[in-house]
Amino acid sequence: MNNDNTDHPPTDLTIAVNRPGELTALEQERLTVLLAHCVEPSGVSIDALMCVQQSRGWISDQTLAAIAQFIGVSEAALDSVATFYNLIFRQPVAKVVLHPCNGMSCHLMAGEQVEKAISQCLGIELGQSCRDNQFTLIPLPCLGACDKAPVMIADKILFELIKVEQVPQILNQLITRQANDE
Amino acid sequence: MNDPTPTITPPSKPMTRFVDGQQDSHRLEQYQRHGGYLGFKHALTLTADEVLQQVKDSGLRGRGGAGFPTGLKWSFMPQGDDTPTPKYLIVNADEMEPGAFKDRYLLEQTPHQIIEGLLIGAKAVNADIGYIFIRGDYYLAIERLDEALQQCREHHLIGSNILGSGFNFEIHLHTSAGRYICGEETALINSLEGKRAVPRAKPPFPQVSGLWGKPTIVNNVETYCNLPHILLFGVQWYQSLGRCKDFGTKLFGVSGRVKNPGLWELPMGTPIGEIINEHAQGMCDGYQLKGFLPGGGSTDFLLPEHLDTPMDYDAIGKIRSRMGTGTITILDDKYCPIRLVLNLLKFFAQESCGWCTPCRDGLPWAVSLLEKIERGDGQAADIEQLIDITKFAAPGNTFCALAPGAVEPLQSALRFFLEDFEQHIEKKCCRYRQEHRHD
Amino acid sequence: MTKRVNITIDGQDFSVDSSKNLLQTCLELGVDLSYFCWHPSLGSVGSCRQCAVLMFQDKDDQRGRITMACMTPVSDNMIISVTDQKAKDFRATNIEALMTNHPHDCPVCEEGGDCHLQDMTLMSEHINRRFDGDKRTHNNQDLGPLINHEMNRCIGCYRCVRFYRDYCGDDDLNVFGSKNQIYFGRATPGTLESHFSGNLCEVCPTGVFTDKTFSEHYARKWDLQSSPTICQHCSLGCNTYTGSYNNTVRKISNRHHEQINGHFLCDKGRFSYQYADNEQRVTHPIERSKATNQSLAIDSTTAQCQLKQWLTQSDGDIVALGSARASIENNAALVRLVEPYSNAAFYADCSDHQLGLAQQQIQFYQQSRLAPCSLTQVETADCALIIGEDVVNTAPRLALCIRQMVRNLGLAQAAAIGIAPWLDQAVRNVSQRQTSSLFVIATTPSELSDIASASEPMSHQQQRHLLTQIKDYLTDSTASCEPLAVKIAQALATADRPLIISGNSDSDLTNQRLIQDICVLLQSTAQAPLIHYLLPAANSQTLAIMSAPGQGIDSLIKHIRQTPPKLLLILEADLDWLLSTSKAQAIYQQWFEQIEHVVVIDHLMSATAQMADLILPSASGIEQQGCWLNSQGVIQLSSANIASSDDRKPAWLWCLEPHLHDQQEQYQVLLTWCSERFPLLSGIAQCQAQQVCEFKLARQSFRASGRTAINANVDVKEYPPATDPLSNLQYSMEGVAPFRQHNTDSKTASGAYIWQPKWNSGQAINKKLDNECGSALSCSIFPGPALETSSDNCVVARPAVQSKEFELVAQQQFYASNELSHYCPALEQLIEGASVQLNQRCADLLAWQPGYCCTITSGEHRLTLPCHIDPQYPSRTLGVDEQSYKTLGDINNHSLSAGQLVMHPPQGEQK
Repeated sequence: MNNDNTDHPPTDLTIAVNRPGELTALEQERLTVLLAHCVEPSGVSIDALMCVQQSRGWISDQTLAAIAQFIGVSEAALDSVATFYNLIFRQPVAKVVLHPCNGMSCHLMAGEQVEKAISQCLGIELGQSCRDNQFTLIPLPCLGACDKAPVMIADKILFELIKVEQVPQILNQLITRQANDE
Repeated sequence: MNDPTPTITPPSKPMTRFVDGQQDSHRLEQYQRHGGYLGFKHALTLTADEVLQQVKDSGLRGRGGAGFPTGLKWSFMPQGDDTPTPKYLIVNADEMEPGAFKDRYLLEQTPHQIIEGLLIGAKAVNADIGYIFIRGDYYLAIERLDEALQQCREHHLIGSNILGSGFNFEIHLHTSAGRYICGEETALINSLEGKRAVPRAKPPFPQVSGLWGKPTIVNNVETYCNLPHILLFGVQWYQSLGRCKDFGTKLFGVSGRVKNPGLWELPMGTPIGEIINEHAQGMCDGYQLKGFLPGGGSTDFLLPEHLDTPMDYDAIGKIRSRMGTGTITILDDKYCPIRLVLNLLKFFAQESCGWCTPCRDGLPWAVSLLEKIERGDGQAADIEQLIDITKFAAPGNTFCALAPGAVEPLQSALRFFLEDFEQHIEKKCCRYRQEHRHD
Repeated sequence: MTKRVNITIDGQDFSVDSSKNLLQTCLELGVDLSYFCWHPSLGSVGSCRQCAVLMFQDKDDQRGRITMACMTPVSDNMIISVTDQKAKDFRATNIEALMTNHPHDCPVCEEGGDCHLQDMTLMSEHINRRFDGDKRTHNNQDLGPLINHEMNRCIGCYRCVRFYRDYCGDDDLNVFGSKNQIYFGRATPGTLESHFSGNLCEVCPTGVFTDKTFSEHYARKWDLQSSPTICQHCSLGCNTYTGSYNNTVRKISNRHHEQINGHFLCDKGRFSYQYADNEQRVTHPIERSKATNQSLAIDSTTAQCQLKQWLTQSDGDIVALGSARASIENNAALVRLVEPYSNAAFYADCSDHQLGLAQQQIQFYQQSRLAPCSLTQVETADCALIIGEDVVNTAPRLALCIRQMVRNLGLAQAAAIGIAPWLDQAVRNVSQRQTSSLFVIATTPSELSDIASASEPMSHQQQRHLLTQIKDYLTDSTASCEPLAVKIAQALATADRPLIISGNSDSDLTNQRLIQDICVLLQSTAQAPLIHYLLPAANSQTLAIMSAPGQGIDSLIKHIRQTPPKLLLILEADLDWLLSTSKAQAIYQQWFEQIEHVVVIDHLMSATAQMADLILPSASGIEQQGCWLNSQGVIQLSSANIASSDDRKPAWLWCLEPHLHDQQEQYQVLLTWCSERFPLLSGIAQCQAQQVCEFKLARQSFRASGRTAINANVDVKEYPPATDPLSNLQYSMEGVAPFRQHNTDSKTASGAYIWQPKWNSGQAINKKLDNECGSALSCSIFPGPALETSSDNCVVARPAVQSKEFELVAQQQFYASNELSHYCPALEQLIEGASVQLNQRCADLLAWQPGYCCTITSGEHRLTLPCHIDPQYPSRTLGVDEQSYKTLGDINNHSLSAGQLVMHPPQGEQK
């Protein structure tokens, strides 16, 4: 395989961002591990998608095609699976996805007001991302912490007993975390 | 490995006694200090049939909501030399039932208890491979289970020739990519196979042809958590714990406008009123109990008049509801019941896998009607339609239990809160919105 | 014999076959029970919930419970009700739920009038939709030139993906999304890749997938003039309904035949009908003056006289060329014309080599007592060897049967744990990826390799070696043989129903004999195998019977070169097609100079027709009644769909004595002559006799409209419908409708179209009250027991020993290898182009670079073709499309040296 750019070999991150139709070395390595333990290749479909989404945030058409080719299933078969699950994003999402719970227990505890507060704070509606690409707002139903309602999951953290006044502070906290990670 | 040998008093709260609020209470050391893995070690000295018999004798019923006798479920798995292998044993940790939060507790706080339960189950049915199918957003639980499995491997509790016994069992942790329907056991199996989580028709049952066509059993997290104690302390002890026909303890929870929402391990058959008024300390000031869902969003509403009823499968069944997950959701008198039912039906309509007609097309139809009524555009005929839909999606009419569960809160709300429906239609508005400033 | 059980339906007792599900049982008993997702070939999945019935535990049970009939096995003493109000209410509500998102666009939907959803909605008695919310909508995809896509109409029955993905094994159509937003389509818009995509139009119960070619010239089903016809695009002889309106063919539908095509057709057969109406068809006789080289249209009588005159003038010095794309009658007439003359000869329109192979195979059938099996029987095999034939392209419907056949291992496993074969998902779960043994060996890679236990492209020599080893192993299992040969031999020897498939488009005599020896060995030492031998064209088997040994196109050319005849009669054959355009050019020149009169009888204005002195327009396969002998050895009668107009006549009418005016009499005389002359084809008279009955049968439905208005632009008076002297089918609605035929004691089991009361769509097939398939208009010519043994006197060209570096093989293509497909505008963008296939190593050896073309020189012919790398290709092998192969090679000359192959950039390309 030709590598004509010897000065600055593309990093995994660059590839992930700039070449959606190409899997990074690390991604390929991870998929290879998945395939090694599978009963049959199509069995790793969901895990493969989640694995690649970890580094890219979402799965584009080109990335889907690349994954399909790597694991040996058709594009249609893989997309059939990808479009079924709500934690696999087939549209771009921002750096942090906010999942306020919109289940009945959280709504009973005024959870809708928390959602509205986030909406107002960021100037976006449900399903949208804000312009600085910091947050996407995707409510999820029942996050399994009903005794601490209202709750929200974002950046793998579970925020409990959220009061409307706490929303700006929570958002800032998440922004800081993201900045530290980068 | 630390080996605590002193005799342990049979506990009254077997599943939660490991949790003391300390940082490491979920780890192996803490678990073993309280007798962890002793039940499994005892099981290793028995034959598979003996272990299975103990589980059958205990009368343990599945804690996922259906309440099917666990021992009986396991006995359907074919045994013998020419049965297909590998055999699979799966933990259903895909808790997503609205109002349910009990499995999260067990997964985060007592991961080893689940693993031990799984190991005992594997011994009973001669399973070869185990999966813990956990929902992808239970991040803390995933981290802790991962660590727990690693610890177990290091201590030869998982893998080949476990503790030198010759028994082999490997456990994999699998995180799901969302969707409520994955909690349905056959849909879960399809998801494990990398497919869309559409349920399968039964028969054939998973015990005969399940994951990859092989014999498979799926049980709930809490069900497995009962097993170490049954094996360690015995069937008699277990049966002494219940306050009714059903045995053992159960994690009961309350959420909503109560003073102390939470989760408690209590004997099976504890009256609902006791759970709500004593453990949850009753309604918050300024709120009255209007009704409640006894076991999650897919159970029928009950009223204050039912507070005396013991929380066990049969008693709740007799009053036309279900114990379900045992986590109670309180409907207070300031929240519009239609709004609550609408929230639930929206959830179920959204979580439909899209396979069968009554669920895929019937539930959105109900949502559309409820939305109309809730915002004040409803008509009397809409109630007739809603009643028709609840009959349409009755058990047996659909491919799986999602839609029948979805219409349980709806049919009971129509029965108990008909006045509210009629008021919305007549007055063309929601009085709760006006009076209590919902928005 | 499956067990029978007693069940009660709405108080009536029935004794039924216990192997079927309750839904199919009810339908076959004549009960109108609605359904969507069940399909007789796809089994039951229980998703739509439309077939709900009430089941009672016992006689005392008054309540009953709803159960889905398609998922319920019939059991002894079962009591059910279809008409109970609870069940009816449920089914009505189910439809109402489906209708919440349906666009109700029947007036502008192609499916209207032929729509299963319409039928079931009416049947459910749901008429008042209460839902007044928003309907979900979808964007449609461009799925190519053959299939329309209108997703708003989808009712989520999942039949399309179950057929396309599960049954056919194709992977570019799937279901996306979930809940009430599920979407059936491709990952990205584009032409559907399956060779069976056309069946989506019939499998889809609504108008999501419809026939795009039909949309271009649409007519409602009730207006169509239909007839039972036989597909003429390969040798399998699938049964079809041809539908026309105002004398143009509009569409082809599946005609169910239990033993052959079942419920499905391939796209080649379904969509290659436009040749019949193509702009270049011959409509009038044309005579060309040799002196002036001017062509002139002449009238029929003049043309007939001209032919007669030339026949007399030729004094028996006649050569005739028959056609495998013409009916038995037409070929017979030609043979009859030339036979009386000792210096006359009849030739078949295929190579001597292929003809010899076909003839030798027929002898084998007669000697061995092994008759070719049906396609249904193919599906019952538990081990198959396909050798020397690219069945995916030459016999697609059979390839589809192979895909079902490999499921037998899984089906057996499912049965062992009590799962009925019609519980489709359950069977597939148990089966996983396990398949019955399948071995696929040909010179080119096979698209069946994904389900094969072993699939290897091999040269003829390598195949010979393999076959010899298999034969050796079967003779003596201690013989030392290569692993693949052992594997195949063992699998065949231990199978309960072994199957061997081969053909003559890519074989040689030695290999063919070896295959036959293996069949005989299996017959004597293990199980007699099912066998099937494929031929290139619809009536190739007929030509094999009618021609003298080895007298094919090569012999014809030789004959003419040595002793040019005075008259050459060509029936529906195009030399450009048979030999390749470049080779044909030289021939035309010779013939123009050497032969006095060349007469061509054809409906296509082919290159050959254009060089004729006299062109007589023949009716196309759709415009005439004709008999066709398929690869299984079954003679089938294809009814005329349109009365031929202008001066077009079946070839046999041009060839027979004009003094016999009565067409019917002429036809009888011809059939009688044919039966006597070719005893193997004696069944042809039987075929004709079988369709005689007391009543006239209608080709049009009783709702066919516009009869009086349709010619109003020409004349005020109504034109009488055309007559059909050869059959009892009427070109009007004045006759018995097909669904009433069983009442009339008609021996014609297959009517002109499929319809039952309340069932307007093709699903009516499941309601047929009598389960006779369309086999009455047919008879089998290889009944099994040996006839008199005859010595092997067939003549087959012996291939020269090859010693050059690269082997040239013919790569079959799905559409391009079928002559008639080239005359269909709808297929224009699908016809595969000329190209070279080779693997990477081969390409490297020849210094190929991406984008390069290959110029191949062979003798005086040279072609430049684009290259495609196919990793599956065997080493040192170049595969070219059939027409290019005909230009560059043949059985004697199919090997090339490196010097004959030059890789270079395409000419005239901008850099």
